[in-house]
Amino acid sequence: MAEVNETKTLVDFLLAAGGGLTNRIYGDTDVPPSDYTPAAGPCICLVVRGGDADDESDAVKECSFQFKVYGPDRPTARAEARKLHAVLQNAKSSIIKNARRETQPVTLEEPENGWIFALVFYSVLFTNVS
Amino acid sequence: MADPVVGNIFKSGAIVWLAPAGETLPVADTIAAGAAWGGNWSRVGFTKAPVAVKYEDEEHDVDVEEFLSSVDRYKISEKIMVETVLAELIADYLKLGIGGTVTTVAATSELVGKDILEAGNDAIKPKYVVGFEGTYVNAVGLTLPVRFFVHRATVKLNGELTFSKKNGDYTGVPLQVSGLANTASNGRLFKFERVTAPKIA
Repeated sequence: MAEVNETKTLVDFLLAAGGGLTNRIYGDTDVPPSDYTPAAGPCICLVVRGGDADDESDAVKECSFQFKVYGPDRPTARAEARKLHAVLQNAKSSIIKNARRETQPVTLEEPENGWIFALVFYSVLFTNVS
Repeated sequence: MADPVVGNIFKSGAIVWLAPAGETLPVADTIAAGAAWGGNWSRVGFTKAPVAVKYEDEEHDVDVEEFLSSVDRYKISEKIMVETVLAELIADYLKLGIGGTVTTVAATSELVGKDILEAGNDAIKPKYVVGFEGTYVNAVGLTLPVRFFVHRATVKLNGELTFSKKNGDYTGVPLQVSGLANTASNGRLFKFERVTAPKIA
């Protein structure tokens, strides 16, 4: 049984989700690309930070994702985190079985450049593509 | 039974529906996932705990002197229970668990609006038909329902109502639905229905 590419699956899902969510969504990185500046608008970086041990059947796997939702200011970053929540909470697709937020978003600041982001974590259950 | 299919692995919350016993079950051919069930069905509000189904049966083993192990086995009783905790503290939901009569008074210039439950000393328990629905997404992205029905059931309060300001929890109404034989349908107890494919266009 092939293992699902969880990050690509989730990025593709979010890009197709609508809901006014930014299309600057980057997987497998916890910082935006070098050409991004917060003045351009929100962006989302997501990485797998862990998850459960493999299921006994190997048919599903649960991943915990870290989301950093950047914005030009704190209200915008948190507003984008709410848009993310609107499309991701309880989300389902043919590959995503379920998604649930693990923590409430916390607004933080990058120490290097002062960029504002909302930090939030979601647990997502995937089917492994057979 | 068939070869394993990952799409059959089910992960979903459940929406609870309730109607007076005898109400027609929702028809999967016409009522889509997430749609109202119509008729006298009422959605039972927010839940603060998972919907849990428990089926129990009692068996009788037929033993003979000649063999160490039983030669046959029969089911001699069965029961099904559905449990959850409702998140809303309202008179109608307390009535489900305790019984009684709810009176609703509309607000006027002289009266506040209020719901009043008068309960106690009711020996006869009302009978309901209870259903709940979860959903899954099939291989081509269609959301399809999985439904579970208890044809005839009574409901009881299944624990304490807890009032506290010391933690982040809030008051829930714990309910247990206990199935009865459906005397109108050969004593059937429950029905499970999983929509596996949409209509063919």
